[in-house]
Amino acid sequence: MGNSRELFQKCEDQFGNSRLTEYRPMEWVLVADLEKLQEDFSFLKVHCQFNLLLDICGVDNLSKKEGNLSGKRFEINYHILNLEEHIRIRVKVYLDEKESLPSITALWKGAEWFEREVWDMYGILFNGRPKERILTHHEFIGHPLRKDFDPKKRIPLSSPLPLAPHDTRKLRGLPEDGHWLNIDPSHPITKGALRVMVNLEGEKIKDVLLEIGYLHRGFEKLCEGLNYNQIIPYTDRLNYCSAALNNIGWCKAVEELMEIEISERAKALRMVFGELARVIDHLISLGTMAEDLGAPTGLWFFMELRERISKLFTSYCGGSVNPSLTRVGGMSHDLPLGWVNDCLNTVKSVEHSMDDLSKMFSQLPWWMDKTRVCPIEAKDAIEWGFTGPCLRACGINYDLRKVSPYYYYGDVEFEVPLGSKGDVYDKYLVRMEEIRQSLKIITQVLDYLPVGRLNIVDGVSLPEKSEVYKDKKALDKYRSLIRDGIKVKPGEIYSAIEGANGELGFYIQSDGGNTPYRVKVRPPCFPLFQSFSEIVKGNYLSDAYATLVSLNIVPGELDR
Amino acid sequence: MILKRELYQRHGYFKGILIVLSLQMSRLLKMFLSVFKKDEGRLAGSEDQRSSKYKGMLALTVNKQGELQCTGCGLCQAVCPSDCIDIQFDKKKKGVGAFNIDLLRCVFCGLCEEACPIDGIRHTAEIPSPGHFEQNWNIGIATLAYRKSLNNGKGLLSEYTFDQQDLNQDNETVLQDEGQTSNA
Repeated sequence: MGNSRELFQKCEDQFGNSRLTEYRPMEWVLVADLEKLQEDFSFLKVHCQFNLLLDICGVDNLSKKEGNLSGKRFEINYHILNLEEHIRIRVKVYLDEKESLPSITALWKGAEWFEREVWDMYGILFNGRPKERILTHHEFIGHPLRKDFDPKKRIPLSSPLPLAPHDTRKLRGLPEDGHWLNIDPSHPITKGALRVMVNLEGEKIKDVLLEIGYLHRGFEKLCEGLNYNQIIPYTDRLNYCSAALNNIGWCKAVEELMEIEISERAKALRMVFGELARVIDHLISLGTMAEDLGAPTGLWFFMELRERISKLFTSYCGGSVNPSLTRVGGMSHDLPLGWVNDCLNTVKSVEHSMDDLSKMFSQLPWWMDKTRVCPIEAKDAIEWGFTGPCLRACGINYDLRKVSPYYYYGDVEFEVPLGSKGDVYDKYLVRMEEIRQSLKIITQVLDYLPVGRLNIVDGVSLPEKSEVYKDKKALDKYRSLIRDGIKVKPGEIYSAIEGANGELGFYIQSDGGNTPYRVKVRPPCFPLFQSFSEIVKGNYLSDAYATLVSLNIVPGELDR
Repeated sequence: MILKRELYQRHGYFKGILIVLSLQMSRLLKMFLSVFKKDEGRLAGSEDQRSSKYKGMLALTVNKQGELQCTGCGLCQAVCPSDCIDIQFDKKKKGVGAFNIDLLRCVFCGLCEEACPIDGIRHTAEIPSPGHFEQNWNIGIATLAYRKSLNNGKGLLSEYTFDQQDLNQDNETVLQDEGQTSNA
């Protein structure tokens, strides 16, 4: 704690009292000048160890009624993390339509795709960066997240992007010769649609081009027209392997923005379902890894375990893939009778099977031959903005559940597994161990599951239906809550949870209405996939497949 | 937690083959033995095995007289995130004129079921498939409440029954509300 005060003092001396504020514990806001931006960033990175760039997020202030103090149209929020002191800083810059920002890819390699996304969505240029689309297609006209863009406008695509297009090659200084190979949008090794184009020399990879955006559904634009509870079913579709974690992340962000405290039972249940979802995500990731590396039966062993856990979701809320199980202020409903017993039985049986499975893969010569490839250095991982199992596989002890515990993660016992080299085998081992630790957390929480009512927040949670039947007042309250939705006071927040793939953050800006003004998801896959081309360069094609599955890219979350 | 060092030491090929073979054999044996066991998991896909919360095809419930339970208050329409519900209010009948659901828009989230104060709309365990409605994904009251799979065409009985007085009172406020929204 002392260190963080010192750090704050140091920053305050540099930036001045008026520009730097601490709006929540361990979360600071810095309002920066456009001219001095580059200096500020290098001070933050070099002297204050803010070394992990989390997110760059633009906001269009066009239809904001009040609160736009600067009078300029756009604002850009950079979220940067200090890994040592666990402090997040938001650097805020205001700028007009014709102004452009300095590019910060020299400081953080991972900024490249985020900057491209800002240009794609808002049309804000970064100095020295070409105009490149990323989430929308290459014939798209306009910038969809501007407030004056009509979302009903359709811009059809006449022809797909050709294999390794010449202008992109020229842009990146890639050679003209060599054999280009398309790993198509619908390749069996991907968990959705993404495109990898590789330049081969023999069997070695010389260059890689990536194309994403096939699953871009405009989640962030969609959120601007829906109220806070209506968005929950859509968060299911972000990372569809672990949908419950997305629900929890979204609701936690909204609750922190509203500054409400949910009941103890709801917190405990969220932990249980979150960990179950994490187990499912890791199982799918490991299963597909086994299948793609030439052990197709492995997929069925992992999927069988996943099926057992999915049944717990189905019996609780009816959907195993898209559960939508949280609501702002609690959970959708209480546990059915006998669920806890089923869950404990399942956890025990899964733990038992995990031992078998780890015997079947770990230490085996052919498995190690195929997976001890493509190591990632810890330094590079931080530069790219890795989080989650992939960062821990590089040997960096950073888990949000440990370092800034939310809910009851501070009270349960679990350990954070760490790899050493960051290669595919390390990622496999870290995921295997994390499943065991998650199961351990679940049993601990279920042992001390708090009792009492689930949804207790006044003015946010719906009244019980039995009350609504009898009482006229309760009915009126119920109707107004459903018709108008929840009102959230004006403000902004960046709130993150430890998702299955890494830090899943939600940035919400509210202008006091019942729909959010701006929502930005910080998807853990985005920086992971960005680094792919550099990791696999110089390796064999089969190693590229192994790396792609071990990074666990889920396009639903990548493209939003 | 640093992972155990043994995990990084590789087995020999012969040992590896032995380990995998023994594990696979024991799995095979278990599979054969499971034929004699009474299996619970195998039928998990059938309708009666699914949980009562299953979010399948939507259904409108009926009251004891066999009429629609829905009063047309429009709460489900307001809460639906994908705008798939369309309710036309019949002022002469003082009830629902038409209730249409566009199934291709529906995301099966269950918010409408949660929003209905009188248990008028419910998710059933049926899975919607094109065979149900032949090309017609926009379904009305006839399919929603009185299709054959629901009690042989009689409809599902609602859990909530209100007596006549309640009904009138509620209906009046609901009517006023509905008039306003439909005008707007």
